[in-house]
Amino acid sequence: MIGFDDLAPGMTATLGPTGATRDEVVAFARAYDPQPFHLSDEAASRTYFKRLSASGWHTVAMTLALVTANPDWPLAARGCEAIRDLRWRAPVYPDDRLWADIAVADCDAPDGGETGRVTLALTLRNQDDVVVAELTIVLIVARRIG
Amino acid sequence: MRYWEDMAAGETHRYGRHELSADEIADFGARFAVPAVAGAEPGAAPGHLLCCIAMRLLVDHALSGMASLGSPGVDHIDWPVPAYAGDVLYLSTEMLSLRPLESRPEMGLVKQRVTLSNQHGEAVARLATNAFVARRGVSA
Repeated sequence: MIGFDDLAPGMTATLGPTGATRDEVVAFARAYDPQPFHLSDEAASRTYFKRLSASGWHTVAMTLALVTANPDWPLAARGCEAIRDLRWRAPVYPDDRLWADIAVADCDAPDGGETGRVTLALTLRNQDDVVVAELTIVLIVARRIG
Repeated sequence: MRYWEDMAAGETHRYGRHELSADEIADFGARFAVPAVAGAEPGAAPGHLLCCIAMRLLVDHALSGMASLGSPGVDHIDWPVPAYAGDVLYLSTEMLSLRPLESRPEMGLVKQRVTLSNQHGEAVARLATNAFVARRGVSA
């Protein structure tokens, strides 16, 4: 596991890919974001999105899972305090392959505590290297592992 | 249909009712391994599920009657009090500011404080949102 003491500002990692199928995009939108342009190509064709695209909240869900529950980067995350500066830069389409670039922005921990606060700046890119989303997440991370 | 011109800073609304169930928390957790709210007890709703519930209430009660053109993002999200199965949630919104977009004259930007609260009136999710809303009679 990666604990608080393994991290320092300036460290970077790239994780992925993640993504969603057309069925997953529509199922998510039906449950949580049933705006017409997230439900069908026909409705989306008349909008900025041009064709069916994922809800921005679906994109964030995929990103959070990729970064905080990933066997390839097993962060000992104990919880999330806040999300800041979330920006949806470009549509995410079904079957896009998405990678997250992570940069550790800040680490702070009280002396003797069992956890620390880690701020991560995340940039999500698709298979064409287009940035589709950016966000900063503030996590509580276990200090000592094992 | 409400357009950008129909909205005013200071406007507040209260919308909806959502009973949070153990099944919804478990199903969301099984689909998305998103982090818990910091400091919450086991079984609490993940913060991102609360954002998604807030979005659903917003779509059902506000955006469906609004000339919404999507959102560029959210400035800040936090979860002051954890939410648990059995909580009954509602949404409140406060319009903070509206400004025209010089680069895209067909729409304006609306900043809102969106708050999801429990049956005790405690905020379980707070979002500082941005939305693009079409202007009346201006074609894209």
